[in-house]
Amino acid sequence: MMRQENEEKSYSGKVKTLEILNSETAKMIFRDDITAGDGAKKDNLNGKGALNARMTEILFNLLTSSGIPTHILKKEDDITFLVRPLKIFPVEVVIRNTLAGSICRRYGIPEGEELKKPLLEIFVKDDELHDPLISESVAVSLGYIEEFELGLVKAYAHRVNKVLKHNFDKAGLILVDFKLEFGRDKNGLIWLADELSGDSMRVWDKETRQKLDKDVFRKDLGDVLEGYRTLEKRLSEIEFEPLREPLNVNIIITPKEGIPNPGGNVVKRAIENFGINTQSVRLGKFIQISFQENLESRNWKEEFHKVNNELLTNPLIEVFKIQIR
Amino acid sequence: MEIGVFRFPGTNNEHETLRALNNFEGVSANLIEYKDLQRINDQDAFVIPGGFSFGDILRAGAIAKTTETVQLLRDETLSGKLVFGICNGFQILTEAGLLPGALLPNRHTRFVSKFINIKISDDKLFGDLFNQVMRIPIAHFEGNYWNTTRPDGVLARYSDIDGRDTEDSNPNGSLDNIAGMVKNSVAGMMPHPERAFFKHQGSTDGRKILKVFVEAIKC
Repeated sequence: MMRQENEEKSYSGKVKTLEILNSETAKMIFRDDITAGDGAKKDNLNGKGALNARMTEILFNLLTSSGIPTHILKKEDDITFLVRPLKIFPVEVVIRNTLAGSICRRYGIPEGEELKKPLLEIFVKDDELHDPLISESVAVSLGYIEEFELGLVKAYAHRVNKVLKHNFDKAGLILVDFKLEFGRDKNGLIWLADELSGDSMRVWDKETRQKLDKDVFRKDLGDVLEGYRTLEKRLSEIEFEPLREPLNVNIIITPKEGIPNPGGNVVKRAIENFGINTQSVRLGKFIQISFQENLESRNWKEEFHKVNNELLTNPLIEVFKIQIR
Repeated sequence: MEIGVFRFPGTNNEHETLRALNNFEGVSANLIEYKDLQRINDQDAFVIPGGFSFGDILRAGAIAKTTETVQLLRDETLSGKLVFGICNGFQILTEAGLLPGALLPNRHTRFVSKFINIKISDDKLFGDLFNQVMRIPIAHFEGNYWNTTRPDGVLARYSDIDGRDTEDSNPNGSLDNIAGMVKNSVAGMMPHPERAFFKHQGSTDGRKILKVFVEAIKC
């Protein structure tokens, strides 16, 4: 919940402070504040900042070794990180593995059911509007994020989920859901930003299903820091297993409008043998590229446009579309 | 005079091309493997012969154009050295942007291998043959010339025996019956002049085309 704006030297969010040092570095400082209900409920808990900084450190290290590009450069002290200054997208990504929180209120369904596959939702970052859900097409249409960037952000978010879920399970924890923020640097590269802690995740004990996250504070269920300490302890005790999920890029190539497509005409006639009359049939190509290498954030958009224009398609006769999975 | 004849993986017309070129007085045509980059600079001109370079994967000529060979060739053309692409060689040169346009699959989606007639339209590099009708073979699947506008620099057009570029004489659906293009020192055509060189091949018209090319190098 932090807006990083270059014109401001220092910005104080609800629980963290960001100080821009120069064009290459900023400081992210964890405070002891805790809030809920878009800031309606507040408290200050001694040691909370350091605890969440520690959680963020160990989880971001795991993500880095799993090939996710993150904004953290180094941890400076108990509550301070040096990070890359980013323009944070005004939308945040939530991944849900088990039903809880706003989705239950929105659709009137009970919490606790595990989803068949992870669900990704996008929300607008705006406390006054109470962080409303936004559809992908609206987010792109309003210019909050480019379509290509959204594809990459979603691919990264799903990889984060896979690696976290796997390791939380090893630690006897259920990763119910979590929120991620991403940002774009001055070169257009995309990095995972913000933090990962009990503030931004729902985590339950696998055996007792006891809540170990900010819901304890939201719902006055006891000592929230005790849950955070349990989280930190459990995750420190296991040996992390990074996951290297390939990034899949699909390239769909179609003949340009008006360009003769003789192959399509042959298929058109064959389809008509089935009694289906078609207006036209156009044959193109589908290319699936998988990447393992991903430790550094790269300018995927620029690189793929280059390889498409100079190799995979002939711009005179074909058009391409890139999908990231 | 040294003429480099390139061989990419899948090239299959290099020997006919070498034999034809070496038939001219004073010409030494050399087979150059596409990775043999250091030999490029020593040549006076180049021919990219026909075939299926890199299996015609993606599009005919699309992989070959990304090789360092073609990058170097681009520099050589800038210094004015002549390059002639035949069939797949023409496809490589259009893919590389050294000649305008693109070669789509044939209109009827069949491989076409037969003698056809072309009329030379170029009055510069091939000016000695201007308006002459030639009988010469083609053998290709992707020879359907396409461009967004009617291009300048047409080398030859498919025609009937009287030189008229009729619809019936167009073997593949090419825009304006275009069979070949020329731009600055780069020329390319779908027909195979090296296959109409010796009497036993059924026509010797291709010899005239290669002769003009060789004489242009001498100039």
